[in-house]
Amino acid sequence: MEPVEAHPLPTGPHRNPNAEADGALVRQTLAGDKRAFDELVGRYQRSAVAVAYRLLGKMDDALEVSQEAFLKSYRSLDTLQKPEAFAGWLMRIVSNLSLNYRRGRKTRSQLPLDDLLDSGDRDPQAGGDSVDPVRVLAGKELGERLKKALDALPEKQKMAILLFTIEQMPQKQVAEALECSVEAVKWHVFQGRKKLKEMLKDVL
Amino acid sequence: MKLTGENLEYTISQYVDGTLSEIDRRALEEQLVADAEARLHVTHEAHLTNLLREYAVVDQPAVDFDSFQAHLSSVIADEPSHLAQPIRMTTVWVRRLSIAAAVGIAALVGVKFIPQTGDSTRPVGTVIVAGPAIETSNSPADINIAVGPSDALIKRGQTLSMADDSIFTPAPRVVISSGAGTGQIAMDSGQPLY
Repeated sequence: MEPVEAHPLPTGPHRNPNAEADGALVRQTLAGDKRAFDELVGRYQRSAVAVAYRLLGKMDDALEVSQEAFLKSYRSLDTLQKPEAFAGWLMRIVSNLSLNYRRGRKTRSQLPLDDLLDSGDRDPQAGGDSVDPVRVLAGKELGERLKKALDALPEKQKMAILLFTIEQMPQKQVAEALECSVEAVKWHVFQGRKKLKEMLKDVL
Repeated sequence: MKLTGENLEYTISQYVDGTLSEIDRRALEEQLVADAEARLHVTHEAHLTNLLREYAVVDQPAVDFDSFQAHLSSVIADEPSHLAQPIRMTTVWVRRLSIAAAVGIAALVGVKFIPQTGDSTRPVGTVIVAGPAIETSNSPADINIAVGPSDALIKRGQTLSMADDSIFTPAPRVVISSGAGTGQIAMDSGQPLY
């Protein structure tokens, strides 16, 4: 019998294990403790920047939008009805601001070539491996194709894949960010991946 | 029951994500033992997911998150503390208070102005209207209305030039005076009306 999977099965979390702690930090912030909000920033800055970067394609823009999103979340923290849902709520702010920013910029998010070259050169060194130019070039091409394929997806499917598959956020949090049910998140992920497989069938 | 088509793909998608229920997972794994096509689906799905995650890690430029957090912290430090704004009204509360105020005003208007059905003969209220005082005259008044050239035209000797007009049309001058023989002019057009 063949093995069930040639690639290791990725893991997918259901619920946010930090939800309760997030709720406590939100309440502390509302009680005047700004250090509690710093902790929330520390927890979610990577996800926020990553999502903004995927949607905007430029790191400078992503950092600007992420900062704006955290500031906005701080200012309107008292309107958050479920403090435990902070992460999903923040991601909704990040994605909305990113989409608005992108519309304002009137360009589709295209990753600049410089960014690709930077990332291709940097990462193997960071890992301490020797640089294999063929592998780097193949990686760049594949990355570019993946990016184009992701950009071609409908907005909800793209966001669901970004947040759930790539950022590995819990489905409940993704549902809060997309303002839909967990079942709808599953469906968006499924439909999105189905289209990606079709677009990338020659490399899968 | 053997899954096929889109049902199978959807189930595999959840299986790879680890979001399938225990019962469904066992049923799928039983099917995978004998179904090569289903196993291929699992392989493709897992490969795509790993590729997406790998690409995400490789693709993203490095960010100094310590600096980012420190900068954000200083920005937040300049913001007013939530505790310092105890009366800050949320949109929800503004809406609620607006509705309450509107209902209160409507009730007040209703009580004040809608006619009561109980005692309809009783006057609702008294209205006092203040008007101009009646003017009285101490002496008999007379009104003179004269038609002809104005005094100014007469003084300037321009009446002759208007003689022809005066024949065919009433003279342009209208004088209204009143008073007890004083001849005080109340209104004088002063110039030709045409």
